[in-house]
Amino acid sequence: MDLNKEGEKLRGEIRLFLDEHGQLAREKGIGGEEYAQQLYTKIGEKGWLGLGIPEKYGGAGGTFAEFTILQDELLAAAPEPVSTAALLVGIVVPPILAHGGDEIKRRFLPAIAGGKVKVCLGCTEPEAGSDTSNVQTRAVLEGDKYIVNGTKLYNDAYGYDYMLTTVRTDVKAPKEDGISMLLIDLKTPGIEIIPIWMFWTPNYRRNEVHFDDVEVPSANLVGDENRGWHYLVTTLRDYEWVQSGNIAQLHIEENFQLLVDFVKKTKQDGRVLSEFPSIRHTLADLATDIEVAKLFYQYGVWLLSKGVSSGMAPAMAKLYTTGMAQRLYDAMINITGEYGQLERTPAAKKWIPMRGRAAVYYKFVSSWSIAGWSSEMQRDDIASRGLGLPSYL
Amino acid sequence: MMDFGFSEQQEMFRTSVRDALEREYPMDVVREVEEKKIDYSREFYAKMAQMGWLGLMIPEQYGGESSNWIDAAILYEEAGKALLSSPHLVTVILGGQAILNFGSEEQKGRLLPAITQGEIVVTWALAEPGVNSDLSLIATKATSLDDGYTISGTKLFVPFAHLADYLITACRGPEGEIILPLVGGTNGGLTSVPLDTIGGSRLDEVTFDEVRIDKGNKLGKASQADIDQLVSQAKVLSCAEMVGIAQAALDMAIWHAEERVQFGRPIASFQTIQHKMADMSLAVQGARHLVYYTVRLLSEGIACAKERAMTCLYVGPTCNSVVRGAMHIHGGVGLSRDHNITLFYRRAKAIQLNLGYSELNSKIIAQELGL
Ligand SMILES: Cc1cc2nc3c(=O)[nH]c(=O)nc-3n(C[C@H](O)[C@H](O)[C@H](O)COP(=O)(O)OP(=O)(O)OC[C@H]3O[C@@H](n4cnc5c(N)ncnc54)[C@H](O)[C@@H]3O)c2cc1C
Repeated sequence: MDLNKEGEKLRGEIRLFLDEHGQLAREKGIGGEEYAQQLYTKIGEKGWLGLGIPEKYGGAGGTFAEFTILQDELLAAAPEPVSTAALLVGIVVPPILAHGGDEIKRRFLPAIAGGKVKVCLGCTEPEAGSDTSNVQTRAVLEGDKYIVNGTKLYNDAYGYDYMLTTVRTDVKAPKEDGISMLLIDLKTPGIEIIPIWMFWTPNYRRNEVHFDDVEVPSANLVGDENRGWHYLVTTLRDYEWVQSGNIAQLHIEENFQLLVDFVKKTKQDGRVLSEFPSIRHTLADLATDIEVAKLFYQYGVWLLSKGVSSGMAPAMAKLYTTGMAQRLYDAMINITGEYGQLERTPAAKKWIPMRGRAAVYYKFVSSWSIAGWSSEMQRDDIASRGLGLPSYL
Repeated sequence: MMDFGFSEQQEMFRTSVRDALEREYPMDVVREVEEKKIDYSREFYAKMAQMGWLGLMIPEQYGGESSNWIDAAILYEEAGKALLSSPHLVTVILGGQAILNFGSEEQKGRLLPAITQGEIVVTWALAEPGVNSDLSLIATKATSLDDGYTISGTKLFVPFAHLADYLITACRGPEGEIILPLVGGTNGGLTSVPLDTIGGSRLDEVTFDEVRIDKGNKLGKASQADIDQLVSQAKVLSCAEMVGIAQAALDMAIWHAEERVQFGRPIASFQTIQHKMADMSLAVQGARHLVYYTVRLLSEGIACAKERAMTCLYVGPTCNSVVRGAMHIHGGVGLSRDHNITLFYRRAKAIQLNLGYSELNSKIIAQELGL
């Protein structure tokens, strides 16, 4: 597919759909979770979640590059739960496609592509953060079932159907070689989901999930037993990094434009902000920074879409983009000064610049260098896998 | 040679402030003040009065304590570590100094003792839409009547406005001069609307609709330079507060890094983490040097417009980057609302933003350099 021509056509269709759907929902007064769920189902019906999934597994064919067109548009114009759910499709599908057997692909991929089943990712545990191989969640095979016990942190489990989960299946093997990947039905008895409220907005939720003797059919094993960690650091992490680079660009152009408009029209002590040389230069630096970040991201997508080894590109895309986002949002709140500190409340509406983005994003941005594995892990990867430096871990 | 030491009395003052805050102002109180939207702990403010903290830099004849800007910086650094919220800066520092410098003997005798006792809250209303510090642009008007003035206009970002007994309100007088009436908080015609901030406290939009005040209820003449000096001195104390915030955040990060094990060892043992924390401690110490250098100059009455501007320019972003680094070292756990590091992250940024925009400080420094 010619990404330039057909990709733009697809982009246009998605944009139009999101516009019309948003308009319709506003007219009917539908909002919140209900709207998000409806929208997600419709996007599934359109077949767009199946971009990159082969037709024989219920997808639309094509490559990851086409899927990211959907992702870009959702990040720009859809409510957060919708873009996150789609983002997760782009993260969990590649390892299933690359390593799963035919049976598991047939069971899961059409449902995911159709928007009927939502899958989240569960790697992080209390003792396994950056150290993803330190998985303590145990899965013991009994007959045709695994019995799972353990805890997973900071995931999207709430409102999701399945979790792609790393579990320890061999305690004697070296840490990296005793982990498997299971698709766990989150409605199975023995699962408890507890909210972890994050600090940037009142209702942004991550979850702590407890598994207490949870029975999982052995048919839900992805790929081979004890290879799960290797799937994690190859397929999954690459895609997650490219996707996380993408999320760090959430509303980036729009927010940058808001900042440009703000400095053009705002006077401080009688002088328009855009006249200050330091502010002009900051904005010029940021425009450049954003351009570079976009190219890192697009390059990562391009490599992944070719199916060739993506090398350092995903790590670079994520590392650079999260850094850029921090520079942008630091500047955004600092330039808006006293006005930048205002939280979005009805009373503040009159004074709050840039739709209240400055305060919210200043908080939100602090999570991007942690979520999807921390910047130090990307640096490690670039240093060891990319530059060939000996590992110290 | 510059004296970096503190007197025995100052060391004792620091210890007593730290002890009192550790004992009576734990993080639960910080959260309670924010969550219940009570603005500050009345109980602890009364203790502050008892301990003499509300008498800082107010002469003993008005009930104050013999003290100087170094003592004040010590208080603010320690208060920063504890994330104390109180009207101290607007009431004791800005209010107290304004009354002391521009007030009549009658006003001093009446208001200063009440301030030191914690009986009244005084606040400072200067900024207006689009006006941060240039008094020639102030639009709030005081129209003269036979026995007083009526005041009309809008002020922004006024701390504790809704609780204040007096708002020192920068207005344009009948002849275009700047006057500083003491507007009673209960005067008719005054409305304040809360604007919630990232720091968890509110700053108010205050509208004056023909608010009447008596002739006697205004401070004496103050020039732009007088007010700049007053405001920038208070900002230096906000910088001391940020140094305390950054130090506390760094301490939390060190503690966490020593406790948290990944890859089979404490993350504090990784060189990248060690270097990051070494840089953070360098940043905090640099900021602290600048703050105490400036308050020493202030205490000795040496002109220091440049140093005050440098302090604001440097300390705000520097301390905020330390707090961000500290948060980063916490990983996921430091991003949940329940973790105290988030309180530091939000508060540090709010204080920086209230220091005024950085171009203003750069301009002052460049001017002082003769550029
Ligand atoms: C918004 C958000 C969404 C998330 N979504 C998911 C999800 O969907 N699924 C999921 O499984 N997890 C998710 N996570 C968890 C995330 O992947 C982890 O938080 C992350 O990997 C870091 O792990 P940790 O929090 O345990 O921090 P730690 O690993 O304890 O790290 C703490 C600090 O130490 C540093 N550090 C650690 N090791 C080293 C080293 N060797 N050298 C130098 N520095 C080091 C880190 O960089 C970090 O700064 C999410 C997190 C967030 C904040």
